[in-house]
Amino acid sequence: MVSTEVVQSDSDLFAELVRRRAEARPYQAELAELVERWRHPSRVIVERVQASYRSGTPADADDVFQEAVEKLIDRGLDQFRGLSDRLPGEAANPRSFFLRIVKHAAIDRYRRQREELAPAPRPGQEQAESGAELSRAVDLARGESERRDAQEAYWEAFGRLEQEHPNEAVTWDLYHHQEVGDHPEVARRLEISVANSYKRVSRAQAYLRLYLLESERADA
Amino acid sequence: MKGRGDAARAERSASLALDSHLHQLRGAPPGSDAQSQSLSRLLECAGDLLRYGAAGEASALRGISAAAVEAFLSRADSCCTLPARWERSAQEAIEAALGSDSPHALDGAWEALAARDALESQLAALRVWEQLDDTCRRDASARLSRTLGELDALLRPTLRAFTPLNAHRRAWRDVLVGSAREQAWWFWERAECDGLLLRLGGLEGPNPDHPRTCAACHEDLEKTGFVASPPLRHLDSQLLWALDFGALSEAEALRWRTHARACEPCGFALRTLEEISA
Repeated sequence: MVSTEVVQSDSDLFAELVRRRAEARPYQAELAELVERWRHPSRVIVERVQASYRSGTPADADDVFQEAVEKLIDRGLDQFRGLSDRLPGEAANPRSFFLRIVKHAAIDRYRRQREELAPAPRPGQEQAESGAELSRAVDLARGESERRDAQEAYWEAFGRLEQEHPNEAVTWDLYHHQEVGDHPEVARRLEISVANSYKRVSRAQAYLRLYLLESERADA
Repeated sequence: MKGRGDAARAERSASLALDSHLHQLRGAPPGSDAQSQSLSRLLECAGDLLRYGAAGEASALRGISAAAVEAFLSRADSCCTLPARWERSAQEAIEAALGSDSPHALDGAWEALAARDALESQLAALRVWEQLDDTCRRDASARLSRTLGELDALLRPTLRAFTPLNAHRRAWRDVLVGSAREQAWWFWERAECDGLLLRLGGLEGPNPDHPRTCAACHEDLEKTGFVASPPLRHLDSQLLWALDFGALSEAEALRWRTHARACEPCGFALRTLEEISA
């Protein structure tokens, strides 16, 4: 017997999901059905990113798929627009949107792996795995991890400075991030006095350090 | 409110004000805002006397009704407004240390410290009241203590901002009696670390040798020293997302594409993103 059940299109099902979420109603069933439809094309995307980075295994695809579903829920659903930014005037395609998220999840994973892995030994080089070398590798990985944590903490603090003290943030950005490094030049570009440039940079530095110290204490 | 320079007169000021607040409380209609405000001031004065030296002032607390205390705790305006006042005061203190030439720049900064101290005095007075009145529930001070504990968790991490007020903080710290001094972290913590904000801002503070002898200042400067040479930012996951989904301004997008042309890992990530079609 031929089934007369009407299968909803991706767009209609996605619209239903968004509507239910906005109304604080359960939407997991609609989400599960949609992402299951997109599982195979997601795998294709992951394999292409893996080929690009020359990294990863077939088993990774499911993990990356799950990460992408989490990103869709955490950020994507709020960000999805009615109009595709690639095809203005046409309705946005939720499948394309999700596959872009899969790309990001895959790139994040394999880029992180590339940064964390020690250089592979050259052909013919002895693969010594002495305790000392492993210990150095662990120290390097830990140091790399701490460096990344410090970097993330710094940029979070700068984000807060931009919100709370935009004048100081702009001046700091010009002086340090854009490496102008000269107060008269900073003052000229921002149309402020040289004394003001000095004050803003000094205040920015104090605020950034205070934010870092406060967040460390809050985490403790 | 306690003035910055009033430490030496703390006990006398509270003593003079006590009778006036007691009189206002007796005249205020039960359950009114006026009653709660009068009780708030009375508790603060009585608590100041307990904490700043005088004994035997518990008599002013006799006869305060449990209903009046309940209404006072329910309002708890000072607790609700303190976080915002604290943040404002902290910013004023930082501005005063790092850029203002005005002699009055620190006036507003003191307000939050005085407000926190006032709450502690009210707590001290409530504890004595509970001991005087056999019929009252003995949870009023516990409730206020819990609220202050939660507030302190928010306020204490930003205490460094108030170090420009150290001379006055030390003065008030030094007139507190016994355990009241240990509990008043808003007066004693980092109270010897003058010039901390100047040093965090890359300037020389008073007593240049202080960071060498103060473990806390030394640690603060060491841990955050890298700020003066900020890490280069790369096209991390957040920026790559923002670039791809059009959340950056034209100028920012251009800046990051320029960076990607010069930075191999960022360029590779961006090429991978753009070459693989979804």
